[in-house]
Amino acid sequence: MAFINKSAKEIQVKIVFYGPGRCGKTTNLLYINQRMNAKFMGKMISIDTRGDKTLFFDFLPLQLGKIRGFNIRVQLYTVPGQVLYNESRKMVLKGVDGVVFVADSMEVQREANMESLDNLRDNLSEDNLDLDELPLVLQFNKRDLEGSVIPVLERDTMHNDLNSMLKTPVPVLMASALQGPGVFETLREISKITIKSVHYKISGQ
Amino acid sequence: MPAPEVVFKDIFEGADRIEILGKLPSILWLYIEAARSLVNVSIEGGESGESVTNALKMLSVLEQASRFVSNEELSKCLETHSRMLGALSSGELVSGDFLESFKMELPKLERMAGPRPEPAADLGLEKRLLEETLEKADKIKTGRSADLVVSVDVLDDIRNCLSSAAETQGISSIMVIDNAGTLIVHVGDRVDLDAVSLAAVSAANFAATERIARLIGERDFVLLFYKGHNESFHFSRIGGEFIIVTIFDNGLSLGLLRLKIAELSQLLDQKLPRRQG
Repeated sequence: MAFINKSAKEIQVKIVFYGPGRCGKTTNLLYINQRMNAKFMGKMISIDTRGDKTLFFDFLPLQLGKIRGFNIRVQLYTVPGQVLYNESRKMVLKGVDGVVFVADSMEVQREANMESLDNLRDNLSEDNLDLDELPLVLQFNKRDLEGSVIPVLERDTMHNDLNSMLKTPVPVLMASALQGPGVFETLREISKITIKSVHYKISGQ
Repeated sequence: MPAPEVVFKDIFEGADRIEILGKLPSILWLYIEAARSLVNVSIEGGESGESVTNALKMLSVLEQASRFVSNEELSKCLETHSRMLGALSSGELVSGDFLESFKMELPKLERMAGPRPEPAADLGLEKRLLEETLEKADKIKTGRSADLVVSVDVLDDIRNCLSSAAETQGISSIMVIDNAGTLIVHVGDRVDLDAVSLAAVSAANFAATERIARLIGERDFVLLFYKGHNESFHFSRIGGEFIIVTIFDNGLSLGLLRLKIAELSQLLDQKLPRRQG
């Protein structure tokens, strides 16, 4: 539910980073917060358990330039990943325009990824949103573990697991949020799709 | 009236394991570098006491973490390192040959650690992050990092306190939760209440209002009160770690409730454990 302010010539969209606990949603935001020019960025707010696990959400407002004379403001949110915090996740998802699903590449998290994507579908449907209609990208995070002693899932395996749960496959990005590769690429991709969808909705009305 | 259940479950169960697995390669690299510089110092005949302690600390974290990976080669390799470091710390066998063989063991670990992470632009920040990781990993050794241990006696004691407070006409539920939303004790006669979710959302709500407090220069709000059409909520802090949540009907005067809860939270503050670490 993008907010379009015609007098201020501004479009505000909400993008949520979703995924299982400990997959690196907050790390994505932290990296963006550290690396992006402060001029285009507001203050990052984290509601967490003493700088550790996200308790409610992280929030980072960004400005992403202009499209057809409209300033694009993007609000990035993360949800708490732990299973128990489902009610909080639902609250954060309200009015979402685009979702980055951050999947954990570690083999032990294979089930958790799929459960979390299922959970995203359920939570969206409670808000009358359809996961298959919503702008979505998949980010396979923690790729830096490849080649180490920690067993990591192949890209194709993850693609088959997760994209097969969707009606139409969505873009996949490989990332390592801790070091940065893939983080801005993900942001670029989801912003592109989300703004396109918002634009489509506006022009369609 | 009081419900008999005691719900105290680690809500982050398994989360630490996932975290430590993700960080294992970077801790391995950290150890490899520490061990290499330790060998170099020893070869030059320098003082290596503190470096040995640090390396031993990292090694013990790695040994614990390797149990989650179930990789035999890694476990064996770490075992060898542990033995060699033990010998080094006790001052025995510090011959050139020994140090050389210790050095030869390191490439094995390097192979298992995978690609070496690129050094961050901000070295100070990186060092601090690594220290934090280590400190945390050290705590995870015990199985969980939340480190909130509430004994059965204390739980019974708290439940008794809550039960007597819940006898007040108008109070339907009282629960003690922690900052992270863990339900510690719940007493009440509302069978339909999803206490676990309520605890999680209450903690999130409390944390969110804390942010509001900071925006106006307060540290936090010590109590919150929400008035419903039939029932109302009262949230109040106990010390820095816990929150007491009360559900009561609108027939009960708020003043009386606040008085009761103030007494109760003073009492509970002495009984509830402090988070370790």
